Amino acid sequence: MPSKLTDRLKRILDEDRKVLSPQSERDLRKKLAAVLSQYFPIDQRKLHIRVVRTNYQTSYELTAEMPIKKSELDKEK
Amino acid sequence: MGQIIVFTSGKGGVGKSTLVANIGTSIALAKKRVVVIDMDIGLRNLDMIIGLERKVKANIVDLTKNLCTLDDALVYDKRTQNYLALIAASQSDLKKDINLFKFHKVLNDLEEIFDYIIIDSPAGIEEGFNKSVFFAKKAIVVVNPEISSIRDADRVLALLENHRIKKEIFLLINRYRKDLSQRSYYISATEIIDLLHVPCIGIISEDERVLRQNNSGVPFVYQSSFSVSTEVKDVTDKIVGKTKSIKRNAPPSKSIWEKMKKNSI
Repeated sequence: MPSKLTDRLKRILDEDRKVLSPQSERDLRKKLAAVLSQYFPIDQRKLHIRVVRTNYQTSYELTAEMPIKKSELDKEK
Repeated sequence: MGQIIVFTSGKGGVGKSTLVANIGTSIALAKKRVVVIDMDIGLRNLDMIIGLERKVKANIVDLTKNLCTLDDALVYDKRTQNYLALIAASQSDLKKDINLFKFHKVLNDLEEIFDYIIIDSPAGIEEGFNKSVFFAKKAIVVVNPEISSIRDADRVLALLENHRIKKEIFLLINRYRKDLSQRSYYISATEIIDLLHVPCIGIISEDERVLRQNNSGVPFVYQSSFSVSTEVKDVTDKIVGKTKSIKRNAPPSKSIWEKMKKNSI
């Protein structure tokens, strides 16, 4: 069970491990949102992306959280 | 052909020089030829911890400036039957006074003589760090169980992983208090390994007798009754290839300490 201390340290390291500058991250988010919205009804304000260093001597990992508007997706179906 | 291993940390005061002195001595006592190089230019200490300060006549900066020969700079430790040698740092020069190409030439010469070349990197991530880690094929990142040390180690790991000369990288947890590992305010060894995603080569306990040994110039590994001596000996066995280190991304386990002691991982 991770302690509060470990959680705090994990958050600090996650922030430190970010690869992109805030501006680059905003640009990437905007471009990804533009592409993804062609396929899904997404809430662009809630799209979160992170590029972080992951494991020992492996490169980087991009994670994206993209809430899809279920009601609009149902309408499309 | 000797192996070049750098001990680094980012944060100062985590026990790098103490570990270099003791692991170097332990390797020498295992009858392997080893040289330890103090790269903390301007803040020389390794010679005192090993107890060889009175024999130092030249240093690494003199050597890279061709102001002395390799024989002048090498100080041998008779207690190890001369299996251990030291090249001290300069106390009066600056880190910029070491030329990287000439340092490379020195390392090439040392590789012909010694089985292990251990570099004691200065704290920080600037020039002294860069020169210390540059030619190493193995890097051991020393970390204490405190958040500032772990954060700095993470930064150093990122720099090492992206270095143009690929390195095998290991963690060495120092000043560990096993009795506190279950407390909410303490970061356990398992948590450190999980957070940093790097294989761990050993865990060295906190022991106040280490200070006494450092101040007397007698590395603590000579005191075979100390548990820290056994722990350093385990790390030495891993360095010289007798046992393996804890694998990266090992699942969290409460018995990590026992497993390491039994060398079963």
